[in-house]
Amino acid sequence: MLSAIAPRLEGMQQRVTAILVARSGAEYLQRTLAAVDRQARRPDFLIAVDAGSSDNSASMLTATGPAQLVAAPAKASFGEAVAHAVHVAAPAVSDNEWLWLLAHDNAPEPDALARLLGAVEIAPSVSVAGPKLMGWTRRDVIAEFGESMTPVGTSVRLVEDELDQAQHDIRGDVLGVAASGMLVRRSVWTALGGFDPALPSTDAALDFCVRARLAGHRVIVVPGARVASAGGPQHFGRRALSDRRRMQISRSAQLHRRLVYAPPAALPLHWLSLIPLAIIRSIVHLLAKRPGAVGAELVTALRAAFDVVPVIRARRNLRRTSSLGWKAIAPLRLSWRRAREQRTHRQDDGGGTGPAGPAAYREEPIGFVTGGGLWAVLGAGLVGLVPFGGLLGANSVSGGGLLPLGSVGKLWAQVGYGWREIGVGFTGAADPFSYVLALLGSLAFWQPSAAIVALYVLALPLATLGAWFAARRFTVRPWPPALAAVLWGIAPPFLSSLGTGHLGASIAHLLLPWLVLLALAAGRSWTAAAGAALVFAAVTASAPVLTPALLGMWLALVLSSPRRAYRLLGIPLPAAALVAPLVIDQILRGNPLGLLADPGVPTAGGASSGIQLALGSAAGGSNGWTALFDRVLLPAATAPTFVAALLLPLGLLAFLGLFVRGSRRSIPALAVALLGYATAVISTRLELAAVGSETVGIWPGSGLSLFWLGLIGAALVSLDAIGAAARGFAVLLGVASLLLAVPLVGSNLLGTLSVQPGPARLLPAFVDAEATSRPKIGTLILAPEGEGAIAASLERGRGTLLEQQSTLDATAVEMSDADARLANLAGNLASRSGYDSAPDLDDLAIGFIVLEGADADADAGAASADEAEAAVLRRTQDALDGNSLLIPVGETSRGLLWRYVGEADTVAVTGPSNTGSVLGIIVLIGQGLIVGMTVLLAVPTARRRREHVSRGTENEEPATTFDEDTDD
Amino acid sequence: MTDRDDIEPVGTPPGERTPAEPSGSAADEPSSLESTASDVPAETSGPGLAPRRFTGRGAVVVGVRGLIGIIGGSVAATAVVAATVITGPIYTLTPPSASIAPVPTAQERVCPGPLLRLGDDAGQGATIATSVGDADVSFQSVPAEATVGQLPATDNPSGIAPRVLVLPPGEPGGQPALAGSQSQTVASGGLLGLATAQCAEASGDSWLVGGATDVGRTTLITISNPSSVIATVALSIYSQSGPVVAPGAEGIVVPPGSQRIISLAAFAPEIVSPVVRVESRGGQVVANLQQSIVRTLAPGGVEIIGETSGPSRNVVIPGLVVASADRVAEVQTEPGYADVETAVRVLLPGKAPTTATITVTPERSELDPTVFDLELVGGQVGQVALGGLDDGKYTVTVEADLPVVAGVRASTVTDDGIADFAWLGSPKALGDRTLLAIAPGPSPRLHLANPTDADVAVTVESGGEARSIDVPAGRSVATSVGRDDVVLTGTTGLIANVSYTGDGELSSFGVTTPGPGSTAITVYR
Repeated sequence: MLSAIAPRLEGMQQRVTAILVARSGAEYLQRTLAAVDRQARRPDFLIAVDAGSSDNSASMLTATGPAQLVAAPAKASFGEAVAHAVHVAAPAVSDNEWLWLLAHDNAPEPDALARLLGAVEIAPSVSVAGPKLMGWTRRDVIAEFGESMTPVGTSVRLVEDELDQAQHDIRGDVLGVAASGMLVRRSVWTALGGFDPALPSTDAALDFCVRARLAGHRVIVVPGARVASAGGPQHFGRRALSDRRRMQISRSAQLHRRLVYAPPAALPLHWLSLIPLAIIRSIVHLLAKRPGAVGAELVTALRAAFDVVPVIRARRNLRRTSSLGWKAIAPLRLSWRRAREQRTHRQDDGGGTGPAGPAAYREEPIGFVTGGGLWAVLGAGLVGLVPFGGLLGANSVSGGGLLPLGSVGKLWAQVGYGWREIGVGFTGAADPFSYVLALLGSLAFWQPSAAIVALYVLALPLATLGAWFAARRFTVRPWPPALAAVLWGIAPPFLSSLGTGHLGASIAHLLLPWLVLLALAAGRSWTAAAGAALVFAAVTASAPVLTPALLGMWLALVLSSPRRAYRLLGIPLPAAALVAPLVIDQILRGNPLGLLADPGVPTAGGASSGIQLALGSAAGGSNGWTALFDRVLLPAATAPTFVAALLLPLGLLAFLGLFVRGSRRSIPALAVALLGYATAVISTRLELAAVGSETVGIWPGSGLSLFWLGLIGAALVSLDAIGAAARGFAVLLGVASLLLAVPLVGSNLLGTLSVQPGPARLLPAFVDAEATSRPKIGTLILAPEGEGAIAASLERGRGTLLEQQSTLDATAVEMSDADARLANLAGNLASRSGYDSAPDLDDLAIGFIVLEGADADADAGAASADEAEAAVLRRTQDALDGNSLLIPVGETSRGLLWRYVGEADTVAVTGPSNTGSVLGIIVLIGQGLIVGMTVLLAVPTARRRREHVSRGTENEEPATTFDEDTDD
Repeated sequence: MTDRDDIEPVGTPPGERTPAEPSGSAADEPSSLESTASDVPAETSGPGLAPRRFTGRGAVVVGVRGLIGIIGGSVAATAVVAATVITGPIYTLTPPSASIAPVPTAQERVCPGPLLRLGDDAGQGATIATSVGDADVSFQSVPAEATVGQLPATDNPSGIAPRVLVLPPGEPGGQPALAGSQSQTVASGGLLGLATAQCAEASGDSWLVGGATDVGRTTLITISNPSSVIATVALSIYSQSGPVVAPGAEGIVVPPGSQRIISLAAFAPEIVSPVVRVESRGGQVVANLQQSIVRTLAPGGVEIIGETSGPSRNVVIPGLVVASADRVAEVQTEPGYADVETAVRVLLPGKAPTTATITVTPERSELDPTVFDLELVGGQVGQVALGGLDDGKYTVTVEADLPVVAGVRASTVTDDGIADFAWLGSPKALGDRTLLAIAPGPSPRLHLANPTDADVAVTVESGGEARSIDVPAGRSVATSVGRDDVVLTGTTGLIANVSYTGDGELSSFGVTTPGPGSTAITVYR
């Protein structure tokens, strides 16, 4: 009985122990200490805690002469520092002892403690009371006033950054209060075990208050008590906090609380959902253009999933202290509706502070229709029908470097890392181009080859479209974009690439304008940066030889705008992810140059001289004029001069760019042109791949496309600058360029076009028919090479398709064991030999042997030019004829055919598919993750702010003039 | 994201701005050069304010721009010139390849078989070729001993099939070699004379120069298929008036292990100068011509004609032996004796005409060669007599702009009027080591011609003795060879014929080394 009375008697005299924790807070401490000192109701004891300050905070604390000065470890959280102080405090003598928690930046107003005490005095059930936290400098703004949770446990500040107009002064009971300025009954503090050590800063106070509530105590806010605060609990002792770090702390705290608060039955579910939720939230972060938050999200989830000891400890503590069910605090939680209201409210506030508004320029961009873009595209479409209209209705295109595509499933089976079914096959990395092909083919999923047909028919208008949008950035007038678009659409390197079936170079040409457009916008927008990264990846995958030049341009862009570099830095990332396995494979093989080889079928390109390349001719000759002159009986030697004359307007205008206003735009453009030219020249000088004994250079068309891009860009600058004379120049330029393209556009009519509507058959019909029932049947193709040699290659099924091509195969520097076995077989088959070929033929599942060039010796007199080749042909044919294992079938479209009837059901050994090995799966996941994240980041979600757009030449450097960030 | 951003954002602190050109549309400023002063950062004051005057600073800027332009132009020119001047690849992949030495296989040589005549002793069956006697076969082989067998089947009703020499495969790299030849002297059944031939390796494409199908001349084609697969043979017959269109000349089936005997007259009657190409699909074959002459009732000789090399621009035929030239000159004016004359037969395949230069070089180096031209029509066989040659040994060379096929016929006539003749071809050039098997016959002699540009020293091993023969570039030498096994080394590039000369006997056969079918081959991947 006495014990019951004693507190009551003592209760008349509340005893308050103020605990002031400081860590390197000298700049705030002066005011805080003074404010504590000025309290109307002064705390009975002041325990100062120095948590490892690096400045003079400790001496300032000492100077005030506190009851006790405690040193806490430098790493201690606010809660742990308070625990230290409570530990050394004088033993509690009554239940009416209170702890007043202050950080170095919490300066209470003089009546703060008095009012807090007043509030708890009249309500004995209250064990925790929080003051109204005000801004440190803006004293009329509420920094925080009470906390709560949403139904899923997200912590919410009930009030945040609001002007104090007493609008919240009616509040009383809340779910939680902030740690700063918290007045807590010492017995409750001790009973609940203080702040959870697993919550170092954020949510520690909320969690404590929740536990207090569950233990049957009330938590209130006291509007009259006002304490200044310089920042949230997460700022305690930290100079600056990155968004990423802040997000990580709060997310970590939320996950911890979720696991602690969850009923035991739901715990496994929560634990299992950690990672999937983190992934979903990461996707949301990317869509919201917060790529920095993704890492934090994943790290936090992993840590929460595996660091379970603090959760167990906290759950045990909660179970020990809680006496009420969760229903007791349900009314204090924030309902979804209110949470949503609050969020909307704050967003509106935030939106109002943006730089939008009447101050910005309002000038309409050149319209696609009014600017002539539509007409340029339609015109290019009509022109494109001249060479490629014949492909309309075809199922596939063949010739040059083109082959049909397989089914969509096969296309996607070729990406990543796995078995490459070309020749005898090997396990290795796919070309990044396989992704481009898979995407392209998926567009026409019912008949993937039709996507290539469509690409050909639409190539010119598509190029024109891209170029129009890119050119619109560079000029103020309405018509130059249309002119540039037409020039780009009928660029000789582009027509040449298309005509010779260089699909990669053609795709690169289509994408280059978009790359320019997106890369120049990338500094300001995550959407553009991610888009640029994707296009960069597609271009480098399609034309690897452009990679050095593009990396150089990227580096220049980064260096020219260092303040925005963080958005630009990631541009090569998806490309790097796609090419990484190939890089490793090529380096292991000691052939890093092989990375520059064109993907697709290795086709010998016309080696062009420096002059020819300068005239934009990728395939040798002079953009087709030499052949045309020949045909119309003009001296062919004059063709280069004629072409040079036609190119004069473009060259002059581009060159003029150096002299006129706007040189800050034309010099980079000309530098790009130079890079492109250098790339083209080097392309022709690098013979990286081999077909049989013949080496194959890189197609210079891709480099020339870049060359053309630079020239057109510089010419646009000149047209902009030269004023009234521009119109005449433009007409001249347009007419000359159209004339220049005549032989290439008319290549179909002139019969110089390599591509044609594809017969989908690559192998003789006999083989084709057999392959429909035995899809893996092998056909050994022997071709006589000069100087007494043969080339042996193996095709499977109906022939090697486009997506099965591999630069690893084309650039092989030595024979693999399997190659050597095939060579041995071929060498013996081509010789009078005692070798028993049957085991090899069976193991490799070879059913047919084709001897190419076997019809070339019909006229023995004429074929004598290559007597050595004829001799090898003869020898091989004799040997195959005399081989009793083989049945001669006869002459076919591809040469003489023999059939081998062995064990009909043998299947050649193959390796793992791209999902068939751990390495393959890792590669697929890695590439998928990086590309997928980039795609999410590239999806435009932010509202477009068209009001900022303008055009004009008043600024030389379009990409660096905007300082506001558009989508985050 | 905005579409366009090349404007000055309002509120950007001036210090952070990149120095901008004066704004305003170009229409306001027709002359760009005048506005260049604004490149100087101090003049970023406002749009359209560029003064239309040449100031000192403007002149400097114009100068700077000119300089930039000149530098740019030089860079461009340098780039193009460098790209033009510096040619040749920077890096060229060495296409991976492997040299494959085929697994040694049994070597086979097929001899032409006994001499044949049409009709039997009773004068019946004039379309069926029957053998007369049998041929002697000589052979030698290293390192193992070859075995002699017979083709299992033949068209010859007497059943005497061609001999087949088989050398079992040795160790890899052991360079096994096999050579054989046959000879037969006949004086019955309307045949008279000496016929010799090399036992040859089967091939898919053989050229045979010789024969005739005019009155009294019988030419038979023997095709032997030693392989285990069916051979389908196509004959292309050329005559003095062009290719002969002969039904049935294609698709002649030669079953495995059998010999077919076909009269050339069945396809091409009344041809004076045929050239036959034998092409085979499936199994490879050995094809020979056998020509016999009967002048009225007197037999005029017999010869087996072996394979000669395919079309070439430089055909070298060594071993032309001119014997009894005076007697030949006497009889050749008599009716039916026109073809005792020494003659060169040349076929120009294809369609275009050309002129061949024929050089007859005596083996005795002190004598001068005889040179004359022969006009050739595409697809036709040209034949020219080599009159006026003294007794001796000669090498005939046929050179032409287009590849040709050629052979030489030589004859001998005794004082008694017994005549024999020989056909010489141009065998394929020899490899480094040549085995020689000399079938029995009178005065066998080896003729080596050196069509290369370098002198060649050949080592001849015979009966345990070794000697050296020098063959100067462009010349030929002859050496007597005995019945002993002869091995020649250092014969790369040489062309060899063996001649037999006796009284009223003349014959010749070509010497070859194994064809490329079993040499190492380079295989690219």
